[in-house]
Amino acid sequence: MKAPLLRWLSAPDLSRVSGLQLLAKGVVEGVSGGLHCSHHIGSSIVFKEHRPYVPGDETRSIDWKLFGKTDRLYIRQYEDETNLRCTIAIDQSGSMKYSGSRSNGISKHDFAVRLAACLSYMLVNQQDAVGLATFDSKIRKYIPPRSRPNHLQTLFEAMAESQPGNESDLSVVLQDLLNRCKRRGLVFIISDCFGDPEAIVKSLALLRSNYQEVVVFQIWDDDELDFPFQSRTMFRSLELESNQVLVDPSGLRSTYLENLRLFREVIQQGCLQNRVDLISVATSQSYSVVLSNYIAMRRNRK
Amino acid sequence: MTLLNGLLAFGAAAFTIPLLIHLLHRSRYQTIDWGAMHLLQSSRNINSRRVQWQQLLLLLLRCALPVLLALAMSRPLLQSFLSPSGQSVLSVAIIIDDSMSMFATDNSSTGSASADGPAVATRFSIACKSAADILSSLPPGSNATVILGGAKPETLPGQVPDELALNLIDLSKRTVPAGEFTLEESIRSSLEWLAKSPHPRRQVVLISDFQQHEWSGQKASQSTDIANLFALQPTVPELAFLTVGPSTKPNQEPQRNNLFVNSIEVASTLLTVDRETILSTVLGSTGPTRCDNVNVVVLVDDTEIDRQEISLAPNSTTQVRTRWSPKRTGDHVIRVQILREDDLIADNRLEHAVIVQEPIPILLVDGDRRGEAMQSETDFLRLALSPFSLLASEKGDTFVSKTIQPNELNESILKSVRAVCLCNVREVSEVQQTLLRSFVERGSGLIVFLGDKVRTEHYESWPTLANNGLRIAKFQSRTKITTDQADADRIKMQQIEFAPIRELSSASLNSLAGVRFEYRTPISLDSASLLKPSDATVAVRFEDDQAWMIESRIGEGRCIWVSSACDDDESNLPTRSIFVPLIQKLVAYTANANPPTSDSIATDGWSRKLDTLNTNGAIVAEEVQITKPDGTTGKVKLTKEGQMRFSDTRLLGTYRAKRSSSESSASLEPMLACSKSEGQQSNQESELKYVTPDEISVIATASKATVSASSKDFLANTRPDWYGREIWTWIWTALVVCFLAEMALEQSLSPRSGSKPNAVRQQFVRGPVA
Repeated sequence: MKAPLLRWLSAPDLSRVSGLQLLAKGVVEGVSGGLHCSHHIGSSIVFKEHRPYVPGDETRSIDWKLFGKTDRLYIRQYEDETNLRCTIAIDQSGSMKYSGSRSNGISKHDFAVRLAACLSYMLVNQQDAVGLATFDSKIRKYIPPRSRPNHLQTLFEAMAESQPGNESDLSVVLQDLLNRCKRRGLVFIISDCFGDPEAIVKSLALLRSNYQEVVVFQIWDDDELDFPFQSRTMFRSLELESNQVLVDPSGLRSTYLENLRLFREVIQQGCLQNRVDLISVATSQSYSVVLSNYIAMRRNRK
Repeated sequence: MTLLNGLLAFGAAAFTIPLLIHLLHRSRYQTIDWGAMHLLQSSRNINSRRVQWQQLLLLLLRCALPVLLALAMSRPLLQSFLSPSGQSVLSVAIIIDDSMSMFATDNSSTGSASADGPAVATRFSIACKSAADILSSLPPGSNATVILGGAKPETLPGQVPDELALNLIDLSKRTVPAGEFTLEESIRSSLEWLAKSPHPRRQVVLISDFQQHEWSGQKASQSTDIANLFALQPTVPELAFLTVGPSTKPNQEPQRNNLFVNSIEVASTLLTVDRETILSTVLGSTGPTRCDNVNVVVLVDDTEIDRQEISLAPNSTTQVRTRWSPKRTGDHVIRVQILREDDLIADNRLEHAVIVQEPIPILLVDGDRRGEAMQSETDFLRLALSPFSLLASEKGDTFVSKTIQPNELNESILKSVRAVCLCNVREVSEVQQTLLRSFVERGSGLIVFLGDKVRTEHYESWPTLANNGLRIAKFQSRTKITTDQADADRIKMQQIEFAPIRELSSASLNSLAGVRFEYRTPISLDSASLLKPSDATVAVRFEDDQAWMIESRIGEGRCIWVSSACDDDESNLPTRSIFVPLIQKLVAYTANANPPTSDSIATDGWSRKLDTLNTNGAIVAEEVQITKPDGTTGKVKLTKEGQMRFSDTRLLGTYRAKRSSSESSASLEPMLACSKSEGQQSNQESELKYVTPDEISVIATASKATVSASSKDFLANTRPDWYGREIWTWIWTALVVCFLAEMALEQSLSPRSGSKPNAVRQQFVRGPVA
């Protein structure tokens, strides 16, 4: 049996993400040494600036070399490095079970888990704290963020246990998450965001208002994006078995796509307004490529 | 609608294939466990109705494709809705104008006609051949009739188109025209025939050269009348005009001159042997140029009696006068011929049949015979009736008179005369009255001139007409006309309907107006003496409305009572110039002499009364063979009274009759002849003026008719309607349109693969930097 890590992450994926560093774009707080910068000045090895000595400063901070040059007393100040607290929320509602013909057998949930694993690996490697929440209509499992190396194993096991099913209610879940994430941090939501888009946007706004940086990975299957069905089809809901419709897809297609566009537009506008990164990905893509492209985008933006 | 390849139409059943596929498709479906149900539900709610009709439309298009394909390949023929399904039979009535102008030729040729027909095709021959083409092209099962429209319309025998076509080929060789084109009668005849037709599809084809005088001027409303006639039919036939001749040319002076003989008149009212008469021929020319050195020949019974050379200015007439003295009694045919070829040869000759009679024997019964010259009662009459004889001239008289005393009047003498004049006879015995009654009844004439010798009370005692007598009037005593009776001494000249006086020349009538009477024996019409009121009429009156002449018909003959004497004792009439023509006309009228010089063909044909008994008293012949102007013959039986009536007299020219004995086929009797000409109307036919193309369009529009310039054009336009119009091209077009529509609709309903999902696969929404 493969190690949970290798179960989802192939060697090329690992090599791709291992060198990546996810940087928080906002101010984060932490107690242990991490990658991310803090406004606060602390004792680290990164020199920031000189300031004149005032009585009461620690004498060990005096830059004696500069005194020798200038015959004045100055204190050396350093940047204070801290760690990032990340929470990865994985949608395990029934809709995430869908796997189309073009996704190579990978369901949206599988993709989400792989993406989450990749993210977790990267974050733990850069000594950031990573937590996990799996949810459908509510949070089913919550693992608080830790930065210990063996925490990754815990995360992977939790990911392995998650099985998609049930209905989803992302807006409720986000509010619950808000209550759990008391400190500033980064929240990754890996979901298809199926639900009331406006309620979801409101919940995202709430999360953002709590000084959380939010990144949403919206997972799609290609079939959901272009609705390729021609022949008469009985569509059965993956979340509620009694919900099924017999339709002629060819006639519905244009309206379905229009509704899809509207749905996505609401989510996009909501994310834009609330400064939430929204990454729409299809399961036919490589999650590691998606992640690396996203990291690169963040770096260029900073 | 008819299908040329009917079997292929069964391929339309293939429409069931898409239908079955559709039904099967609806019964089968795949099941997919789907995540985005919320997107699907809302789409379904919005789209259900639109999806349904789009799917239905697609189904219909798919079903229509095999149907259209099968229909197109089966080559349907669309026919008139009036035609029973699967048939295109129709009834066609073809009217051919065979009036004079249709025998014109339209190209210059100096060929001569032969037994096989005209050397150059006349419009009539072209019309016949066009009609034959049309008849030969009719769909099987159709019936047809051909009506010749000149004069009285004649319907050719037969209704089978092929037989009619063959007859028309023979008829096309005819060179003799018929009378004036009677369009309305011809149209009515065609509509009457079509009304009895078994086929609902009906058509009338009029073939004519469309002369101006037939369609313009007073006949301008004819086209509207025709349209109204058609509209009244329960099944309205179609009307088509087929023009022959240069009717497409603008109405202008004909390019070539046309010479014609307009009329032949005989000066004498009665023709007798050795009595010279003047033949006056009017000739005309239509055309832009003067015609000089035109030779005109006058023949009698094919013997030339005169030849003259004339000149004619453009659009003018001239007269040629020829003297002729008949040498024998009987029927003669005078023919005038222009010896020059032009476009219309038929009017270059004209025939006129005349009857030369023996001088008519008249019996004059003199009631006041005297020895002195011009003192007897009948002297003036004798002079008026036989002037040349009395003057010992070589010229013959129309009448031969014999004067007798009243007591010499008997049966034997009555047998040899045609008319009797009782001139101032005092009394007539009962035996003589009976003889005279029989004499008149047999067809002879009686004129009674009253006078001073007449015993009015004796004449009053005569049996009336109703009682097999002769009396029709009441008599009063002879009276002198006094000066205070100003109107009583002259004749009332207004509204004279009496034929012998009406036919007098104006100069004679002027002379009659100057006649003054001193005495008269007043007579008045006795209605009680008549069997019916029309038995007698007051022919002429005095100005005071008293009768001067009373006429009656008794059997076959006529009787005239005159209230004045025939000498100059009571009036100055004998001294007036009118006396001679008046007396000759009165006597000829009562003698029942045949029309002055010839028979005339009335609307019911040629009538002539012939003697049924020969000199031996045996019945001579019961049948008469008639030769028509075109050389064809016919037979007619005489009635018991010897009346011959031949009704087939459409053609212009001379009709010749010969009596043949019922016991032998050999002709026994001399020839009889009667000519028919157009008279004044012939001038219009000879003008050769046509309606213009614009006018034809107006006429056709008003008549609701189509116009074709030839049978070829007509058939090209009409054949699709007879046989149906192929509509496979339309069906192929509809098929292509349906196919493209099906493809477009299917494309619109099918998902688009590729671009859109790629565009949304990796989409980053970047939030602003905090």
